[in-house]
Amino acid sequence: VLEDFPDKIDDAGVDPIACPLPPRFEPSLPEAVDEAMALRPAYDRQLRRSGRTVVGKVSGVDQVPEAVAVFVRLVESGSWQELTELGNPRLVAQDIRGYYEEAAMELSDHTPAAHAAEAWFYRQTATGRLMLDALKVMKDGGAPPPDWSFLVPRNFQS
Amino acid sequence: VPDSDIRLANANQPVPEFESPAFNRLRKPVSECRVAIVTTAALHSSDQPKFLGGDQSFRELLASADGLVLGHISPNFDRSGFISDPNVVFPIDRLNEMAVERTIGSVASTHISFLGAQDETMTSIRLDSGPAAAKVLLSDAVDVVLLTPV
Repeated sequence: VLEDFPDKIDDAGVDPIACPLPPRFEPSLPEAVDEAMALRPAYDRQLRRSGRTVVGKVSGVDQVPEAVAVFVRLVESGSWQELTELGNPRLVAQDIRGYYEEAAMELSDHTPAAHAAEAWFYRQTATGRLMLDALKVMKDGGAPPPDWSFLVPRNFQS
Repeated sequence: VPDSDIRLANANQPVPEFESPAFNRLRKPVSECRVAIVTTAALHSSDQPKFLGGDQSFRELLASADGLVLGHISPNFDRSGFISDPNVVFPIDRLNEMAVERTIGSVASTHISFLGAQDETMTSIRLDSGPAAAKVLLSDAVDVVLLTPV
């Protein structure tokens, strides 16, 4: 009764979405925090256009720059206590990533291929690189695996 | 995580075998069937409870529901598709088009959402919430469900 079909849709690739980042606005801030703040207008436009967002699992959109700042301090200090006080680390990370990806979809002029937005986030943004650094700090520092193993997708954990 | 990696990782995944699997053949043409969506994208409306880790309950989604929330929390899941077009996980517009074209008979008024990330046994879904969800659909005279495993 069950039938296999030969059709298979493969990923278009893992190239990042073509998306220009806004220029630095406040050089006195950490690059990732400044970047997050600069993306707010694009995020708002996307939300107005689509009416959808995945941000809000722990923090509202207004708290995203401060959540990014917590990751900056985590990487600088090697302590992740402030992050866990903010909320479940994986959910805090998802709010930040969702905010970025939704802003990127507004800044880009096309619907991204699967995984193109996440590739852009982790490879081309200061906050994405910050997440990878935070993962390493937490893992090497002995943080409980549930707190770091879901911070970033598996294919970005090397 | 790219789909190709997921296919590779799951290629030899053991799956349970059931002695008497439930399987029903359609007794009428699809063009006369009432169709519902069953998704594992953990969708819920904003006034429904969020899905928690290991949650084996379900949410009833109205066909007219706007503002669905995507409760899936794995970092390996690409959410940009849902933001671009919710039909990638909840293809309600496509079903409505098929009903207008008479490819299917009608679209159910209620659809079902589960959390996709589950343990190996899914005991509650198999013995409790799954049959309960089926009852909801049967009470809406649903003949066919379209699964969107996310």
